[in-house]
Amino acid sequence: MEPITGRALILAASAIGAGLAMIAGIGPGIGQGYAAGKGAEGVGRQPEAQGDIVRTMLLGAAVAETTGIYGLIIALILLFANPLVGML
Amino acid sequence: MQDISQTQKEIAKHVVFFNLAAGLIGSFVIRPAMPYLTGILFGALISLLNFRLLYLTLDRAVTMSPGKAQKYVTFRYMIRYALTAAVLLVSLKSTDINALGTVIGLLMIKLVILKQNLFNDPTYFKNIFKGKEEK
Repeated sequence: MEPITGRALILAASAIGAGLAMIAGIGPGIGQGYAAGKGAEGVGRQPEAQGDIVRTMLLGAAVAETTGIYGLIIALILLFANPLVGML
Repeated sequence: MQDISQTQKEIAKHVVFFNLAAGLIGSFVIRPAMPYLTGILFGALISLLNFRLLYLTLDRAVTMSPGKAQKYVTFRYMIRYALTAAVLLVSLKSTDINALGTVIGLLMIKLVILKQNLFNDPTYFKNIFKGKEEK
């Protein structure tokens, strides 16, 4: 059996790290869905407030979405532009 | 309270302005400047497109039943997420687009929203330094 090289170890750890970083993308999706469900309930109760509800939800969802992008950036950098491999 | 289309226009205007500022400052620091500027342009365009898609999704979701709205918004979020992933992947792989510029362009919208809706309120800063017993 061939010994594990340093490069192979870094690549394997990076792949695991990328997978873990992608967990960050799930949270905003669940959160946005939950907020939209509550927003729909709110509009059902008070239809005249639809504009205000959508506006508030839009700003909150846009901020939450960028949080998911952080994890995506880390995952893609680890997979496709890994700076650690060059350090060997 | 502002109306939704007015809010979107304001945010889009500020995103363009802030990205221009980031492009100008970055072009003096990062060499070569052209891939960086292309990255900022690319990121800003996609972030504005995502913002518009988010509005269309939410506007439609609030007219649905709560359970259906939840599934619809989560599914549309995954589509937007995949779009962002494709953009980032292209900018990481291409030599003509700087990935840092793309990331700055994509995330600038958060800064703009926080600046317009949180940091514009002086009581927010006062409350940070105010002790609990003073409230």
